[in-house]
Order: sequence, then C-alpha cells, then structure tokens
Amino acid sequence: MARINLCLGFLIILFLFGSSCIKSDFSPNDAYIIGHGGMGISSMYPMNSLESFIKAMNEGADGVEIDVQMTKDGVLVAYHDEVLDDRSTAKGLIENYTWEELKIYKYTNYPYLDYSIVRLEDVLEEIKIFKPIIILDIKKTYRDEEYYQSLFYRELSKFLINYKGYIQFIVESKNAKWLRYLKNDNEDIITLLYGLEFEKTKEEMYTYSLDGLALEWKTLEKVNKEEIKNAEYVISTFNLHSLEQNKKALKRNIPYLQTENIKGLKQILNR
Amino acid sequence: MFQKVSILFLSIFSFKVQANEPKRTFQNKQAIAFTAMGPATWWSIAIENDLQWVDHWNFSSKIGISSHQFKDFHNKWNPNLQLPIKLSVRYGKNHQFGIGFGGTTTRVVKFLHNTKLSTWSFNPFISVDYRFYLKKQFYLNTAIYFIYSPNQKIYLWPGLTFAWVF
Repeated sequence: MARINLCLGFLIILFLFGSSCIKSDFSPNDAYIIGHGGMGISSMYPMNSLESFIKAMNEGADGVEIDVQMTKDGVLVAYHDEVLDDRSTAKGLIENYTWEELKIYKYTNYPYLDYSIVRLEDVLEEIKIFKPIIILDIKKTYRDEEYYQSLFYRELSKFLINYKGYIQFIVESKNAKWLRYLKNDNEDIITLLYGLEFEKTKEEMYTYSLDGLALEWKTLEKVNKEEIKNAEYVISTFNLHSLEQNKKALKRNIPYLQTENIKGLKQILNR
Repeated sequence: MFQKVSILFLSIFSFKVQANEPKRTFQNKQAIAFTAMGPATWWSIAIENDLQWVDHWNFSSKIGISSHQFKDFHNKWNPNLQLPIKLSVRYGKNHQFGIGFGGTTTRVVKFLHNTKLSTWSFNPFISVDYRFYLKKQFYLNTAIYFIYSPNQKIYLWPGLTFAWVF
C-alpha cells in the first residue's frame, strides 16, 4: 500500500512539474501574431491582397507582413514573387510596369478570383486604425541601379515617416548594408536581416549592428533551442503552417511569429 | 417478277430497320450530387435531372450552389457565392462518356477604391465527363473543366462528383 502511495505521489509531482514546464516555456505575452502576407498562403484571399490584410487584422492579428516592390514610376506595391507570371495575369517584372498599367491585373491563384495587386499606401491607409506592427519584407533594394535604389529608398522613407504615429515598422531585407543606412536615418524602426544560414546571417547582423534576424522556420528549427531562447537580438520567423510549428516557435520565445494560421495561434495563446 | 422482288426486298428492309431501331425509353431520374472541386472551385452541392432519351444516350441538367467564404474581410456575414449550372450529354450505360457546358454565376466581395463592393459575374465553362454507376442508385462522375474566369484566364480544373439517384 505504501508503495502504491509513493508511486501515486511521484506521478502527481511529475504531472505538476511537467505542466508547469510547458506553461513557463510558452511566454504568450511576448509573442506577436503577424499574418504572413495577410492571411497566409492557404487563405482564399491571395497573399498581399488588400482583402487579405484587412481580414488578418479583423481576425485579431497584431500585425501583418507585407512584401514590398516598386513599379517603374516609383510606386511601392505589395507583391511576393520576383516575376508576375505565376500568380497574376501580368507577365515579367513589376519594375517594367507603371502603376497605371499594373493596377488592372488580377491575381490568378484559383478560378473566379477578382482581386487586384495593391499599393502599399492603400494597405497602410486601410489598416492604420488597428495601430498594427508591420513587417516590410523588402524583396529588392535595386543595388545595381543607382537611380532606382535612391528612388526606392526615398519612397520607403516617406511611409516610415508619415505613418510613424500609427504603425510600428519592422523592416527585413537580405541586404545588410542597405538596412544599416535605413537604421541610421530611422532609429526607431527594427531592422531584421534575412538569410538562409543561421550562423552566417547572425555574424553579418552583428557586423552591421542590426536589430535581429528574420529566418524561415525550417532554418530556425535546426538551431539550438537555448541559443534562440536566450538570444539578445530580435527574431522573426515565417512559414509557420501547422499548429505544431506555431507551438514550437512559441516555446523558443520568438517574439514575431509570421504565421499562416492566425486562428490557430490565437487559440494557443488564449487570445 | 420485278414487283414481287421489290415487295420482298422492301419488306426485308423495313423489318431490318425496325429491328435496328433502338427502343425509345424516356426515363427521367433525379439526383442529389456533391462535387469536390469542379465548377465552383472547391465544392458544390447540386440537384440534377437526368433524361435517358434513347438507349445509352443521356441528357442531364444540373444546378448547384457553393460558398467558400461566408464572412467577408470585415468578419461580417457576406458570403462569396457560386451558382453553377450545367447541361451535359453522355453516351453509355453503366460507364458513360460525355461532354458538358454551362456557367457559374459568381458573387465576390472585394475592396475597390476605398469601398466594399460585391461583384457578380457569369463565367462559362465546358467539361469532359466520365460517369460510372454503382448499383443504379449512386454514381461517380469525374470531369475536367475548362473555366473562363473573371480575371480573363482559362483554368483547367478537375471535379469529382458523388451522387444519389432517386
């Protein structure tokens, strides 16, 4: 009988200890729900469409990630791919179109879609009432074309200044040097360096004194858990599809979760 | 003599024509069909009227409904709707091959020039069908649809239908 009591007591302690471990790992208050391209890739709204961003904010996300590119006449638009062919009725590169030409084209993910490519300005105007966190994923910094490089920088800086009171901006790019310039001019924004390899990207981030890293979940998952949990720099991760991936990212105390599953992440966080 | 031969020939010929003429059966059946993918993007439920006109020739008309989004981007009840109609002709008894044509009336809720709008459009399609009857009460229908979408693109889209015939 005494042995049974002992076993039972041990099991209770194990249960309490185990559950408290899981709770303390979660740290829900530190995590921000960021809709990846709005509602994510599996939504019926195309990624980076205005409808997708508005829906994400109304679903309860803290912010959204927007992929930014520029047209020939210097208008910043939200679009993911380098070429337009795969997801829209247009063909070629965005920089070959003026905004007037580009705005007539539609997304083509499924039949019967009737959603258009949208300007960054229109997105920010519509969602600024939510006071969101916006991660601007800079797809191209036009490093080989001086005119476009300065035009892009100037146009982007306008948004960072004009929406300062409404939006907390985080800018991610794979161009560390460019991010450093941007940080020099806009101290209050968070700059994240995007890369494919953890160690190499981290080293470059330190070299240019940037704020942190933006890494795909499958890259980050392979990195030592403790290193991520105790990191003194900001981390953002993307391509979080399943509930399990969202849970794992939360357990690593990653503050900015660019999720494909806003509802699921909200449930995990009890929000 | 010639008259006799002619009468004999005509009577044989008429007998042969009569023997070859298929039995006319105007059988009319209804079915409730559930389609995965198909003319309404992801799913649709439809009622079908199937007319077996001559042996092995089948004509059917189908009307369905679907929605993959009941709430709009402001989380208000405002569904995107798809209402496919389809006419098809098929040949065969238990295994039927055929073609169909029709269109999907679509309602899309979107944001344009700072205004929430709902737009309606009619999008034609044609299909190539293969139908297989299971015990006369159920059938499976596989089809490839060529859908002309409002974004002016033609989609090659599959569809699998399971139906209960009554």
